[in-house]
Amino acid sequence: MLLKDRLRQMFVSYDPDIQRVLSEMLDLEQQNISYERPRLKEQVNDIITNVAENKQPKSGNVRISE
Amino acid sequence: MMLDRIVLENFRQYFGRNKIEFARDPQRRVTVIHGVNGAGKTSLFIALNWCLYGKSVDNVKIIDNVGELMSKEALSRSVVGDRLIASVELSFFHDGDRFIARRALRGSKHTDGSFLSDNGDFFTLMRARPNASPETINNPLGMINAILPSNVRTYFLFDGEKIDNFAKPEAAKEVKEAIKLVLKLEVLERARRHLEAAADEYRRELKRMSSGESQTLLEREEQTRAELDRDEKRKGELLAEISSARRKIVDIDAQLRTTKDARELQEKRSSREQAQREFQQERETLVGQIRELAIGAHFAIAQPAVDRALEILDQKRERGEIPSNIRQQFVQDLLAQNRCICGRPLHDGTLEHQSIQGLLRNSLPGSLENDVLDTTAALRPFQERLDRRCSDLNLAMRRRAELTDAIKKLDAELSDIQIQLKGSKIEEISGLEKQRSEFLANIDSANLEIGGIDERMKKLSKEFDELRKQREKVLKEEKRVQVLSKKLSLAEQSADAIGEIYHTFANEMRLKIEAKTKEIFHRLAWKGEDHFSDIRLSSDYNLEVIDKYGRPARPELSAGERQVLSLSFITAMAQVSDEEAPLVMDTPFGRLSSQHRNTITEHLPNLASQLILFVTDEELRDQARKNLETRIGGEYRLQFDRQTSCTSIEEEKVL
Repeated sequence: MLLKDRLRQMFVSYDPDIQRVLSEMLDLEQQNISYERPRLKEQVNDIITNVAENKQPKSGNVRISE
Repeated sequence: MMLDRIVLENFRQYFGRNKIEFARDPQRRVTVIHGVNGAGKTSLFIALNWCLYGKSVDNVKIIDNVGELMSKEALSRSVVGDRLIASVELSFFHDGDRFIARRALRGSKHTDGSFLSDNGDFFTLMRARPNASPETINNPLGMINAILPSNVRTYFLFDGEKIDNFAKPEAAKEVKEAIKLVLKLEVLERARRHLEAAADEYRRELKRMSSGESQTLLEREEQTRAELDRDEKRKGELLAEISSARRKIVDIDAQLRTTKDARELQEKRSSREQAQREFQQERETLVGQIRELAIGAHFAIAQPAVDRALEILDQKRERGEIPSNIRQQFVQDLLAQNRCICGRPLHDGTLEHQSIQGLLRNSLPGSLENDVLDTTAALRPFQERLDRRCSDLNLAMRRRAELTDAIKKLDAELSDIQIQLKGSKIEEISGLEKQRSEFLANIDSANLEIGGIDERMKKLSKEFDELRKQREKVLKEEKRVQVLSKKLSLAEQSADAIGEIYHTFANEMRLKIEAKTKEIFHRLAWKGEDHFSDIRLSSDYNLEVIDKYGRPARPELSAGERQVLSLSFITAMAQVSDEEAPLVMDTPFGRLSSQHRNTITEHLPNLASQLILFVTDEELRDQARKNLETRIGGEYRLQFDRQTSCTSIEEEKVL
């Protein structure tokens, strides 16, 4: 099984909202993995707020976990 | 990531445009680039890294000196001021999309012959999808990090001679770091950390917002409302008491009027009371007028300045400066016409001309003169207005004093009447008067209490309005609290979810890498399973080789064997991570004996989705060459020209 699929499988028993937060968080962290201490406070808040308010994520051109 | 093509333009010793097409066919996935020492293999390797990652990403250094990237040949052929470009264009495939990355360094030739680059380099990343126009990637660094992060690239693009790091006894830290980066453990750790930080922030905010404030405000609002109702009710009772007392006083007065011995005094009292009411009413009106007059007299403050202004204007008038005898416009017209009204010419430098110029200096512009006259007219009545207002104020004050005296006098008379009636020998009269006095006292007490109540009600109403505003604001915040509470729960549960799966996942990955490294090492190390019985990756990430005696054998490994162990570990990581990334190796076999070269060339093409080798001819010959031959899809030779010191890339025919 591929790494991404295995990771996704490990989260499958969690609430769909949690899965969405995790999926978007892992994408965000991956995009900033080159930085030693990335400043992601606002982006993290956006992800959580969008899920909490049931909003669709902003469309960006970096999607890695789909 | 599958590399497709690289185009170099004026990059180091690659003068002009040079191109390499990388092999991608699953059966022939190997690209071999031959070059003797100094031919440009490392420059090509640098070009690949620079194109994708630039000089550095955050604190990860990619290349040392950007200034040396411009081709010296291109620079020597240009003249001072010429614009020059050094660029690397890399085309690659990822997840079914084709990407084109281009990094360019622009600048011009300086007078001392050196290259003066513009500020930084220019990076563009485009994605071309089938049946769609190419799109520019807005966040190119994010995209590259999603495909092959700069700090992961070292495990896929590396110098073959320096890859024995993972096999050194002290390498546990590097091994752990590599596993964390390539297998997304670092991503999980960071996500957990950031989610926990977000949860902390939400918790603090929530504590601040949901302090039961709305409940407290509602309770206070209810209390205030109840107090207002109580006061309102009490005021109503007091007003009723006053009304009743007044009615009773009217009845008593009527009775006293009908009583023979009291009639005269009662009628006198009625007339005095009427007069007193009228005086009081007049005094109240007068107090209002006095206030108005006092407020309207503020201009008295300006009087000294007004007096001084008038004095200055009067002095100027006495000296004949205003109004001036000669209008400025008239003098200017004479000078413009160069002729006096007497007909004499007025040429520059003549006495006549100087005389007329003198008149101009003493004259005033017409508009200013009018303003001065208007100002005087406006200031003159100022004093008269002030005098009138002071006189009105004095009159009103005097009248108020007269009224106060009259009211006091009437008070004394009324008091005297009261004493006389109270002291009457006729019991009925004295009794009625005593009752009357009590009712009057009751009215005074009630009025006093009403005054207090009014004051308190005013204060309570203000407080009530304020509380209502605060409550509305808090209720709005409570909606935010609900969202915040959900956010906190999401952040906490997501961080917990990572925590719950992390160790299972990390352990699973470690065991997979251990098994894969073992499998690959047994294939690549020529001594094979007979000598090296096992590979272990301990829970503290120590990579160990076990010999056939069951003893740790890593300290005894030769440099070549260490290189093979590192290569096994790297390819194992690539396979476990399922990252489709090319394995780009610069001088991979330099330190290896023929046995290892043979085993590696036999197995390596099956271990990587794409293999790009930068080799010297000595590295790849005999059996090693034969092993690779059927897997080579592209072969190039770097030709160094001694005359120009430039390298050109020549494609060789693939067998």
